[in-house]
Amino acid sequence: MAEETRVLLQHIGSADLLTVKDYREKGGYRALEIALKDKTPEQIVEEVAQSGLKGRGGAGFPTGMKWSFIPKDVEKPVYLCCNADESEPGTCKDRIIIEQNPHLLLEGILIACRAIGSHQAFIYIRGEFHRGANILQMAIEEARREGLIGKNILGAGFDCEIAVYRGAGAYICGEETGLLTSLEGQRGYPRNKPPFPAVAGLYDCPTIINNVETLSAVPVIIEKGGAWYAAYGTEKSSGTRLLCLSGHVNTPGVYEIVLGNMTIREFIRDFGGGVPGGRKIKGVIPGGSSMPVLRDDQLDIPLTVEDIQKAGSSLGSGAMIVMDETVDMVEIALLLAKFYEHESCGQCTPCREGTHWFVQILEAVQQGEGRPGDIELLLDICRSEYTSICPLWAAAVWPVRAFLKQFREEFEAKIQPRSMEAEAETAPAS
Amino acid sequence: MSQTGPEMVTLTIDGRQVTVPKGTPIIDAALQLGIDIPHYCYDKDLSVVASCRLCLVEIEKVPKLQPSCSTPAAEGQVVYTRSDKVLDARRMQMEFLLVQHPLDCPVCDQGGECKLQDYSREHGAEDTRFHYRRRTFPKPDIGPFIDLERNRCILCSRCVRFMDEIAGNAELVVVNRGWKSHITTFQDQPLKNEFAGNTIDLCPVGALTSKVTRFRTRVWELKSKPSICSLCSVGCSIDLQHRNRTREILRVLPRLSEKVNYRWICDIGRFGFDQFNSDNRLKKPAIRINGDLQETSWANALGEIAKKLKVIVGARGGAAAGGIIGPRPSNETLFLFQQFFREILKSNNVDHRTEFIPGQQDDGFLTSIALRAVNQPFEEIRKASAVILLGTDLPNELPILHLQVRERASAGIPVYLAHHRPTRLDSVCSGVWGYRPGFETPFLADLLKKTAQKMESLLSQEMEETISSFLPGAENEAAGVSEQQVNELANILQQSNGATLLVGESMFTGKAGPVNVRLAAELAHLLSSDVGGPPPLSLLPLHNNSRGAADMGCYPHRGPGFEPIEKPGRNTAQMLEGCIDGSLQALILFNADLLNEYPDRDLARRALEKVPFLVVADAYPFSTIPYADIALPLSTHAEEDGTYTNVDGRIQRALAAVAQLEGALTGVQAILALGERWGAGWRQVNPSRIFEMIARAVPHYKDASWTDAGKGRCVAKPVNISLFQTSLSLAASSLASSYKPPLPDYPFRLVRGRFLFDDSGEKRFAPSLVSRREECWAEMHPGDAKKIGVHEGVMVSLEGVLGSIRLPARISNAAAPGCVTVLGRYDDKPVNGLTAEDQPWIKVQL
Ligand SMILES: Cc1cc2nc3c(=O)[nH]c(=O)nc-3n(C[C@H](O)[C@H](O)[C@H](O)COP(=O)(O)O)c2cc1C
Ligand code: SF4
Ligand code: SF4
Ligand code: SF4
Ligand code: FES
Repeated sequence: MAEETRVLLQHIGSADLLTVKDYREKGGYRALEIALKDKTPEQIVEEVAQSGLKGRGGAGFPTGMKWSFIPKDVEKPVYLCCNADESEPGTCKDRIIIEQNPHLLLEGILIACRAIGSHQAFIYIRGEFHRGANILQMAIEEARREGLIGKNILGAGFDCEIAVYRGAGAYICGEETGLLTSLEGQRGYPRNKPPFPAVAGLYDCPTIINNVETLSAVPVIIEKGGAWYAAYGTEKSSGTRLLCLSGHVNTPGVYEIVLGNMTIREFIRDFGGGVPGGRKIKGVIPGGSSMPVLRDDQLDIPLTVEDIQKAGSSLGSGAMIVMDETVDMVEIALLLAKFYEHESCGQCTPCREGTHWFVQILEAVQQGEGRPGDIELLLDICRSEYTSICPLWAAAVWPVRAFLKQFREEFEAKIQPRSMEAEAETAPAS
Repeated sequence: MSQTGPEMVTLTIDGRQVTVPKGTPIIDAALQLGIDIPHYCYDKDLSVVASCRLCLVEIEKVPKLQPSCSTPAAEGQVVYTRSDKVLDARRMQMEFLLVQHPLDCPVCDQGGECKLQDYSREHGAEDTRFHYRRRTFPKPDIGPFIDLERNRCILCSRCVRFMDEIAGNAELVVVNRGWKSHITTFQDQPLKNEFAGNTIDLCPVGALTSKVTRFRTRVWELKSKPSICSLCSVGCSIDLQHRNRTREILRVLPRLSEKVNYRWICDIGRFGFDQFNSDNRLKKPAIRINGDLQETSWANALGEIAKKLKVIVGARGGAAAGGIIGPRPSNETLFLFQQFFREILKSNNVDHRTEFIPGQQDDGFLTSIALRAVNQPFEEIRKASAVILLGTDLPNELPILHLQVRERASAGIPVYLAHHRPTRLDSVCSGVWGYRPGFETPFLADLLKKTAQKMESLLSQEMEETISSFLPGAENEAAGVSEQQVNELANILQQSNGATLLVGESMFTGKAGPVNVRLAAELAHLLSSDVGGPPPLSLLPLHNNSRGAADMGCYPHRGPGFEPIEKPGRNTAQMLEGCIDGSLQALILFNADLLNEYPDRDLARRALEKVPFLVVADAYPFSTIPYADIALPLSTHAEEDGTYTNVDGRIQRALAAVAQLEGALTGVQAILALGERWGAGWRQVNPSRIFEMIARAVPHYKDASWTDAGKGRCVAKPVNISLFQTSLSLAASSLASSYKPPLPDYPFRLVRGRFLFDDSGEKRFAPSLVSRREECWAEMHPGDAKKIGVHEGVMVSLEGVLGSIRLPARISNAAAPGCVTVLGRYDDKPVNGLTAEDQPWIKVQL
């Protein structure tokens, strides 16, 4: 039976970590001390690069490499933005760190700022996280009193401020450039890339955006070394990952594991306690709602970034959603399409119009009013996935295409309801 | 500064090479090859959002299609604008844009010049694959000028960006998100900004259309004639469009003019065209018989005028007849008008200054000419290192100059403003200084003194004395600007080498005008790097042909080209006095809305009543008509071919757009016909011939030609200033009374100013402008309001020594204490009927 490997979540649940004192008792802020006193910024970047740490926000970009994109000797200020918008359906891992170990995140942010030469960080937190925002605010204030934030941190001559900024309930503000425009006080419209944020980001200044989990992994990498961290997991899936297990499982939750030690099915079995009522799995979305769904017969692959990619999907933000045999896949496709329709910022043509069109077609299909050719039409619309400003349109396309590909017969059945057989097959089981 | 040009890059687009400056977007590089990449959101004058995704192109070695509007051209790039992949993506975007579109082209005014129609025909599919209920939005009312039909909107956001980035008023916004996104106005209020009409031109589809033109024509029925807007001295290049074969003007569009309005015009110029279609016109000549004006023929009316004038002039000489012409008609009309008086009636009683009582014959504007001021605000602000605005409320006075100054400010040129009340330009200024209304001279004197001190420049003895006579002392009150503030401005000026000064009407008109202009010119000299060159100073007269009227010699003491007249005649004020005392027996008012414009309405009314013979010639029935003995119907600006000289001295020609109203003559025709009665031999004369006469008579128009004026290429040359005596007679003492405290019974100073949305001049004959009009109000400081118990919106009576009116009060912190400000000129609110110029005092009662 597979077990958790708790690195980031080490003391969570067993100890109180909300104050600087508590956190320090568990070894907190030691990494910051090392980073400020024993390492140059270049060495910090090097250490993180060596650890193989990849972005935990969904895109999986190597963190050390991202940091190295900040132009050298810039005259403008450099900013760090911590992406705490956590809005991808199924994703709920950042919240645990924020609410239960806020100083871990602050420490990670401070080290990252040191590495990239930033003196001002922002935590962009989703609006619904009232509690998290308050906890962070209190933690920041205490850290400031303790000389961990502000001027001359730990007497090492490094200045850094951290500010919490609360979003207003838009998924698109988790997209990194949408986050930046929102943070600047504008409508949360994503921006065209290039220029990339590392060159021209917040207020047109070099900016790094990292996910909460990504930044929270930094302290342990600095304390124990990049090589120590890289020793966990596989070459391409190093370290530990927080996976958010939800859907039809007996024990949903956030689990910290090392990738490569188990298959997807084993993970669902050992951590999720299997499917309620012993029902069969129909499909699993492995990495947040935008990632292509896998069928039951694809679940015996190792749970790693690379193997899931080979299967045509992605581990994304680490949110695994399990659907059992009772689920109507057309309904799920519609549900997801509605989510993206609701969350499209509406700025660019394909996504604004396409997400709505998806919903209209799928709704008709779901209500038995589909037209012959609808599947082909949906797939044809999908072809425009890379013509938008930001990846939200692609994120809307992928599930539609994947559900059509993996469960095409369910759609076909609804489109030709006149056949009695088909009717019986798609009748809801519950 | 190094003279090397921008770095160039060479790229290949559809197999052809093109070299462009680095940073040029691919879409513009393609255009240089004649390749027009379809686009909606891109506009070269707006920020780039790359949101419509129509302009996607394929670039070798780049996996995804890229928007050509936001991707800069790069060395060696290989671009395809018509590959299968591109055409497929384009077709898809067009399909997306059309899925929700109502396809109501038959009732859409954009039809025929719509990019959605154009691109659909070129790139779209035959049929729709969309079978659901189309999205609809409620229809808002965004004001009298613009119709917003959201269902047609493709959300390119050009309108939003224009309002925010160019008009400077982010009144149009996108609300909601995703497929529910739509355009609305800020807080659902009607649009207020005076440049909003330009969004109609920018909108690629029929979502923003003109309410004034709505449903009155289809665009393919329109014929265009190049013209010049006649509503202010900017003189925007426009196209007047009328429906083929009718006289009805149905649309005004900006015409590109790099040196003036560029591609924009203001809403007054755009939507005021119905003045030309107005039925409320003088249609037939009329003559007073037994106390009533009765219709008559032109022959009869002209015969009668000639007869009367011959008798009067015969008996009393030319000095018994006078003519006042407004600063509005064409140069040709203005020139002929003064010719008629000088050559035929032998009278120098000619003036065009209808709005101000000049204290001396050489007023502020002429003083600026004598001092060689450059008087080219548009040219100047383009090259100046800083712009200094003195005594002008540009947003209410010269809309497009306001826009250009705004553009300079966003380009990083500092703009400083000193005025007696806040203006809408203040927010883009690097510094704003407020002085007390009416205290322009003391303010300028103090500023000049301090700036000269800081720059260690010596002023002439006379200048020093003049300055000290205006500085606060036992007799004079202070200008309301603190010592520290003036020092601050002086410090800025001291460092503003290469700056240009623009001086508004409140400073250069009236009795203090010449003094103020002298002080401002001295200041300009201090800032100029060109020692001994002309002072970088431009005055801002407001009427569409203020400059032309001056150049044409419509002065009692100066002829065409400012040639001094040996025996000067009477100016406007003196002519009106003459009407009253009987020394003037005949007066001709030509395009002059005298009762509304003259600062002393009572005097003007008495003069018109008294003068034995009054001829009024105009296109519209202004309030002077009832006093006329003979009224002559003139053609409108749209019916006449002529040249106009704008605030920059640019001589621009407007073509007649429509046939003349039957029964009306153009100003030129009317004066020529009248001249014939004296056998003037003007029969062969037409406007182009008159223009030749002008070019001969006015030395600084020597190089201008009728043809070039049609192309906007003529600019008046500097005036030969040996025509002016340069002795300084600053007449300081006559001004001193203005700086004394008010009369005991009349404790408030009445302050007047311009307002763009009033009903002055021809505006009141354009129904659309009347519907946009904002009613006249009296603005007061909260402290004063409290003292007399006045609340916001309450009607108050303003009473001066000459009369009173009632207006709603507006309480504003921006108002100067002790002052009541009334903006605009309203026919039914004769605010010029309250006070005499020297005694601007009123009382305010509930
Ligand atoms: C539509 C959309 C929503 C996103 N939402 C989030 C989010 O809520 N949290 C997050 O960390 N990253 C989110 N991302 C990913 C970010 O754009 C970005 O890649 C990430 O924050 C980078 O941090 P990392 O490198 O540490 O993963 C989202 C991306 C897209 C396209
Ligand atoms: S893809 Fe969607 S969310 Fe992203 S910019 Fe375009 S409309 Fe907005
Ligand atoms: S109203 Fe016109 S200009 Fe404005 S966003 Fe819509 S289509 Fe574009
Ligand atoms: S700025 Fe003046 S000239 Fe130009 S359109 Fe407006 S009123 Fe006419
Ligand atoms: S014109 Fe380039 S994306 Fe709209």
